[in-house]
Amino acid sequence: MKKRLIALLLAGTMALSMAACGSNDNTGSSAPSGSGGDVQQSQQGGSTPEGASPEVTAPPVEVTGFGEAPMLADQVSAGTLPKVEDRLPVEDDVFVDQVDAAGNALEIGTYGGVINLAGAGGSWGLSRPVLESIIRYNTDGTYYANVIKSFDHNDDYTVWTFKLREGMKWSDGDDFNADDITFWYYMCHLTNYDTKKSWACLKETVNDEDAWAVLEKVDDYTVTWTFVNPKFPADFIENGDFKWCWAPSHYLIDLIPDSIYVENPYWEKTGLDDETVLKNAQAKGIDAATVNDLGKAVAYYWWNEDGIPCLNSYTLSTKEGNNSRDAQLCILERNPYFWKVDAQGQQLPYCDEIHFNATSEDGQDQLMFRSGELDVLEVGMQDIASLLSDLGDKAQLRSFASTNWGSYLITFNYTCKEENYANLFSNSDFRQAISICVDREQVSGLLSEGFLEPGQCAPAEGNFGYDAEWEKKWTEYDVDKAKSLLEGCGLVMGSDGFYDFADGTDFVLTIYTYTDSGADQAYPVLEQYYNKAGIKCATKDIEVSAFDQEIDNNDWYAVLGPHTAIGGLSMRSRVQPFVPIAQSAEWYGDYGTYYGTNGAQGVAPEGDMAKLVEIYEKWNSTPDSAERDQYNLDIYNIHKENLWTIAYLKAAGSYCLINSNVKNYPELLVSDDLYQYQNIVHYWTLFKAE
Amino acid sequence: MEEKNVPKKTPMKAVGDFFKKDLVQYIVKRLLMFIPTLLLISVLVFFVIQLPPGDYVSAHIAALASEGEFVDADYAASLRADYGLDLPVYQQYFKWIKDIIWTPTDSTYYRLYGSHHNWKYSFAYGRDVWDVVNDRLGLTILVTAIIMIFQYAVSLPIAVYASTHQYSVGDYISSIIGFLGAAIPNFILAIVLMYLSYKWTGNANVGLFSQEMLQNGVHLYNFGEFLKRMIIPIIVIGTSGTCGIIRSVRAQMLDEVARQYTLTARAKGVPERTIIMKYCFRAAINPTVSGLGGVLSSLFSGSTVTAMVLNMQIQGPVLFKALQAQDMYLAGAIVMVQAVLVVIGVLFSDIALAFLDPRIRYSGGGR
Amino acid sequence: MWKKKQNQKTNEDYYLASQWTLMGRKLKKHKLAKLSMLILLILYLGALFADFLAPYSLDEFDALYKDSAPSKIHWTHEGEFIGPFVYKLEKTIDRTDFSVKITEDTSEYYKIKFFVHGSEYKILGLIPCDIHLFGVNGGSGGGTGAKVMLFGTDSLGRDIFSRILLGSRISLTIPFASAIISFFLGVTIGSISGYFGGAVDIVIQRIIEVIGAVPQIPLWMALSAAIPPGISTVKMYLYITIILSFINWTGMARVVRGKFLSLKNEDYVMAARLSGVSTWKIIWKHLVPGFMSYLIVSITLGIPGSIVGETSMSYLGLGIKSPATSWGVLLQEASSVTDVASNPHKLIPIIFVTIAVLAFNFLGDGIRDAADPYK
Repeated sequence: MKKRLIALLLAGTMALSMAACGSNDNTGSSAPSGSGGDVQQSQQGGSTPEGASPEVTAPPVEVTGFGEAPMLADQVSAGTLPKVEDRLPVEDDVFVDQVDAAGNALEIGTYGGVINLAGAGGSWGLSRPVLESIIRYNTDGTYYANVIKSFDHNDDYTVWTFKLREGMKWSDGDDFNADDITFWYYMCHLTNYDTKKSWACLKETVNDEDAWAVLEKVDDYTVTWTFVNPKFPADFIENGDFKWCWAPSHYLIDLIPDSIYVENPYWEKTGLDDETVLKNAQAKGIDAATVNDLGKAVAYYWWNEDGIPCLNSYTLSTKEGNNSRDAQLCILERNPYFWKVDAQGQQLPYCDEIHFNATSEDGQDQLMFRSGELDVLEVGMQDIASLLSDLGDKAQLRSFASTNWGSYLITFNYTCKEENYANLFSNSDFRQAISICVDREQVSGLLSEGFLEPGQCAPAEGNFGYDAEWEKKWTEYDVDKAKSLLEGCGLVMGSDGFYDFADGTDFVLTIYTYTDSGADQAYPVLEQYYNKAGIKCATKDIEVSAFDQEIDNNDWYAVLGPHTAIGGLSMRSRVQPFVPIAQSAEWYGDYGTYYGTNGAQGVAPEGDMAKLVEIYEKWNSTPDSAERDQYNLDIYNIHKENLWTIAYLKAAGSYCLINSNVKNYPELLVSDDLYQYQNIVHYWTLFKAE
Repeated sequence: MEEKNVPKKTPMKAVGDFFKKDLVQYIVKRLLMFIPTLLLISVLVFFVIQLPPGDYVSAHIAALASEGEFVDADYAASLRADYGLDLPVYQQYFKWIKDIIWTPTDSTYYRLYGSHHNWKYSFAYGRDVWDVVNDRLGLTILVTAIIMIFQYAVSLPIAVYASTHQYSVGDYISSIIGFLGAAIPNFILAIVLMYLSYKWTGNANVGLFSQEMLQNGVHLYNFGEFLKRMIIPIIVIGTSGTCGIIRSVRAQMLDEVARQYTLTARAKGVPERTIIMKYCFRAAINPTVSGLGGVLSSLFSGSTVTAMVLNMQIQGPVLFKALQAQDMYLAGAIVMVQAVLVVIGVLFSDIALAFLDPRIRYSGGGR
Repeated sequence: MWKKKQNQKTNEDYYLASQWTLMGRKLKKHKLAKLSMLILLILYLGALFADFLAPYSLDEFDALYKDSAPSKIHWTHEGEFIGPFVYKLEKTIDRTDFSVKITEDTSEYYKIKFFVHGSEYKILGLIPCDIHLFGVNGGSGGGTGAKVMLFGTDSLGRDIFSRILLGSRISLTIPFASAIISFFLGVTIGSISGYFGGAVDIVIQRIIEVIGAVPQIPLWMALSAAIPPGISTVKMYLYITIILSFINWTGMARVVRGKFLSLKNEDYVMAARLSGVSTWKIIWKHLVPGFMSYLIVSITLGIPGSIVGETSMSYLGLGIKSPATSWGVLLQEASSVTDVASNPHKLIPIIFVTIAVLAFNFLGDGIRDAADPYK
């Protein structure tokens, strides 16, 4: 029932990512950080791939003198805020933002105004647009230091060095230095206070046991991470989880109880018991019933609590009624201590506030965009033309390319409890039959007005691993061939015109979809084709939580529009979508559980599934990016061979309409988990022109 | 033998006596029965909420995955343990109801929040349940009250007019308007009106408050904006209820107006107006008053769909989302609050019924 | 002289006629009720013969006619009068600006014919047949693929007019199930509660309160998930409706009880008791007819209430879903502002819902007036 807009956007898959607009992938070998004396250009100290286009690195700029927003200047003259030079890091360490993520030069902007966005949903809604992480990516996959000034490693990758920006401050004016990193690591992370169970990027196996990196503070602005075994860039700095390694020690220190304390060389016990800590939290306006909840709220999802200092360009307003993501109007206010400036030395961000306007149903945000109450609107393909023609010059189109592997995906339970089904699904002839019995041209017309071309479950053009042959594999429309393939699998035509198993039992393809995925729209169309090929179908459309329960219980046969689909930028971004190593994706079901629980639960993978795991382990143990990419392609080849998930159309990109007076919003971007989706827009560089 | 002069009891006096003696008894008895009723409701509600397969954790994990955060099976298990979801359902229920009824002074909760009633945590909002409920309670009551007043204020006069002018043009027109309100599904009416209001005013008018009100608060000067935005909800939700009220009151009135006593009263020269309002109307109102509790509860649930369409921040959509997400403590709390309100409503309607219709006796049976 | 005899006869007829004949006669005089009966008859006949009346079947998807407005029916082609016909649509899409241009291909015309051959269906589920009341076959130049969509199409190109007819089967029949069950349960339990009073009344009233407080939505969700996938969504909806009508009788019961509390001390009840009439007979033969008018109002509001309720449930995603067809499913296509703004023709099923509901209501009014023993 939910809206076809979203159906087209997230058609069958969940990871939105995008084809690189420029060179496709890169090896990302890190160059040693070169910190110069002058003000640094934005892309210094990071990876520069061989043969990267020269526009990616901007020439160093001399910035003389800093500017600030008028509202801040007023506070300075009133004496409530220090001068801009004192709020920014030292001149050499200020971050100069000159180009956007796609490599285009940024326009110098004017201060003032508010950016109006639609509601900030989910746990990460308030964080995505403005999160500042350790490194930052361009749309071509290259990256460079962001919050930290530079990163470096020794020859055998056992010691990594982070250098910080001198004079950098938290959003409340307190100094940001190495203490905040040791505090986070030893008091919040290793203690599991943030309930995230130590990220893999900081963990290693020594003598068959888990061991953690040793963090050392060299001086106020330098820290080192020391490992016993080599820690390669792909596992460390490029790891998607490793977004931050700091926490505001001055603010959180009285929220750490003794009960979770772990001995460490930098911080002592606070001497506080659980209840006092919870009371302190209450005094700070943080509502938590247990220490567990508190830790999660302040040390992990900290952007959802107002009052916690951060390093982002905007902080959550502390005003009652606007200080929560559940509020109808949630406001993010400018951070006066933000450490980035534009090419003319003006302190970013330009706009004073970001507003999140919560809406409850589809279409409301479109109305609000039409009436000018929203500045950015996510749209589906079918609404773009009418909106643009109605609004004319007042709106412009922005595109995000996708890294999904096709749209309208169907996948099967290869570990199905019923052997008949498991065997049938595992036979690739069956999957071929399912794929070729559908007229993709018609489906494209019906489900996407013809905008999405016929395709297969494969990386899209411009993405890593793209293979034109793969994109066309099994995409012809041949019902007779499908039928003969099905018979080749051992199915026998019954008297009712549908196939049955050889032993006489009824064969019914039960397809699960979850509400709001949009897949239930596609079901009647696909059902028709399956029926013509002799496959009897049934469907069950259930709420997401019930759906996930059935998947977890291995109680399913086929899924249309999987919740956790195969696809993504590449294994550099996330491994779980491609290899059965976790309990998440439908296409490998219980095979993944096996690896994730070390053999305790699930089913041991066999055949090509096992091969995937094999290659993955090799991938994991090599530092060489080129070698890793090769293993990645090997894994892709196995997917190409097997096509465990069938897709009918090419992946759909996602689109935004923006108010024409919003400037610096790049025209063509990539939406992927690795680039943190919306974050790649760089909201702090947007400004409103009249 | 002389007859003692027993003062005659006028009808008003009889009612007055009833109110003094029987009413107090009646209220006390009803309040006592409140408690087992509420307990039974709480059991049913809790189990029904848990009925759909899956729980909050499975949906949450999947939602996190779709946001780019992959967690492992251990995390899911620990989350379940934290939320107490790994206990058998009846144990979860007892813990829940025990904490609501009385959280001892000697507990963390009391020391933190100073309250003896722990409604527990909302998984989805990450806040204390009472916090979440309280946020919207005021607005919900205000909106419900406004709509209820509108419903009765509009439908009762129309019903009386229609019944006294049966088969006139006015009767037909009022019937049609009343029926149309119930005939058109709320969400369609809401969507169409919302679109039309955008077309006419150029503003999206989504939600009950403008951005300015959300930032600067609701004051006298911008209260008008709130009332303006209430027009559509009143029309949509109000009209669907007026139909039933108009029809039943009109039907009852027609019955009453045709009775013997009306004829007698007219013959005696009682003014028509008194006949209609004092006698017929009071009798006709019987089923309507019985239905007050039902109207209240249907307002709570019936407004959910409209509230979703119009982005009204009232309890209904919160409850729906909580049920979808299996956020059971929040859902349980909201349902209990609504149940209490409905039970109170039923109590009031029963008292009103007794006041209006002296034929009803509450003490003892019909034999 | 004749007239007097005639009058006598009419008067005699009147006095001798049974209750139902009297009701029937009075009903005929109520114009709106007659009109409503006619309308309902048309609607139900439409549902019965839907396969024949509808030019297309439920699963005729069409990418060319997706989301299209009602077909324009032309009468003259190139100046010449031909009779009713349609042109085929031409669609061009532009992948760069996502625009879709739809024009009519005026090179050949497709006449609308009656009693045409179309998709196959089975009369009464037994006899295969493929004749439809009207439709469009080949074009003047031998082309194929044009369609006549009287009310436009939905998002998969299916004819809305056909879907309204075929969907009315479900929308007009399922509500009866819940209405009947609720009626009987409500009147029975309510009358027991009201008549006996005392402890019985108290217990039943509390049960009603408890049941009324239970939220229906999780029940729907749980029942939807519990029913195995093989069962069609229609059967599922029927089962759930029946199950839930065991909960929906409370409104009726409370009202009946209220009435009983006031009526049970009436003289005629006492007289009946003294005459030795059994309790059951007192309730059903003497008391209930006294407020029959209210009961009829309740039922006639209940059935359309179910019709409308089904559409709301579909909006929430809990009711009948695709691939089944009912008016609620059709209205799902009009469930957001953008749908309504860009495809207003998808609102047409509302007209049918409204007409059915109004018809039931006016009919109920008529029956109520006819059953009035005092006029």
